[in-house]
Amino acid sequence: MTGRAAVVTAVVTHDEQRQVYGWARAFAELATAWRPWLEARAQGLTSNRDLQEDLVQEALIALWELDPSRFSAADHGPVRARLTMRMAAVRKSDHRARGGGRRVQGAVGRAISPGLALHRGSLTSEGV
Amino acid sequence: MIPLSPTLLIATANAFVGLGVGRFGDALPALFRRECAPGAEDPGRAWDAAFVQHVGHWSHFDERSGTSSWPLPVTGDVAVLATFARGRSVLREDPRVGDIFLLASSLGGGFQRVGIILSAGDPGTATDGTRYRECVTIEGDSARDFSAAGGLVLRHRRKLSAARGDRFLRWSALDVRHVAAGDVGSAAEAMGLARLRASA
Repeated sequence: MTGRAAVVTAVVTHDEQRQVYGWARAFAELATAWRPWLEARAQGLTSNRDLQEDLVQEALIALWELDPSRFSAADHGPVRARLTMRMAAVRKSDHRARGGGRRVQGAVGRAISPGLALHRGSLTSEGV
Repeated sequence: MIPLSPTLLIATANAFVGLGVGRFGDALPALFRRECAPGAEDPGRAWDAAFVQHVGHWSHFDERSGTSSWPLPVTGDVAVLATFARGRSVLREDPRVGDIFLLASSLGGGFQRVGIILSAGDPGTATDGTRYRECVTIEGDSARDFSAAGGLVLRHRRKLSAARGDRFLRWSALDVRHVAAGDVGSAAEAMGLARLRASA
């Protein structure tokens, strides 16, 4: 049993020595892990199911552009705040396109995570 | 004194790929950290820069003189490396094999990670229009999903972009022989790259 375990360890090590891990892996893992959270955020912004899916897709594009290989777990709060901002911006433009009014601002404000307050300086330029 | 050579740095770094926390406990990261801050190691600190320092120092260590020709300051701090490189005018916008990349955070606020360039591919353009170079790197304290503090030395494929703030530390240009001759590192760089091409 000990010998078998030793062999498995050696194989894993050899794989790691040869493997080149692509940046898409970082995106895929984070996108999978965060999808439920993104869907919940989208549901908080709109009851329109089609728009909810659009918001999630828009957030995933924003995540791809941010490049998850460029931030660590410590940055997840501000990153989520940015994704929420992106979804809120899309929600707002959709609302305008449908002839909506100012009520969206309240929805946007409620949707933005508490982490936003800590990073307001870097986020306001995104424009909501 | 051993001439500065990207080949030596890469060969030494390659020997560590796949190693890190979990194989031998945390002995390896502890060694890297201890070399950068003897007696004042911070076990919680990322060791990507300390890894570069370790392989840089020992890849250029000359047993006869008991010294290393590695030209970068002994530090585990990315910001210190960046400041040093700016001061010596060796911070570049295009990668070369053997350079040390300084990865800009996507949230702003300077550099967040360093590693070694193994190969620099053709230029590409991201979905937001940003130009980049796809590079294969070796990084310390990494993980398969690219998360920092992953505890392993791994090879990664990254899109590095000067437009996004990434920079490349051309340490081979710090060869003192060529500084004295007024030819800042070009011969040393050519020598190292010629060796790499010959071995490819």
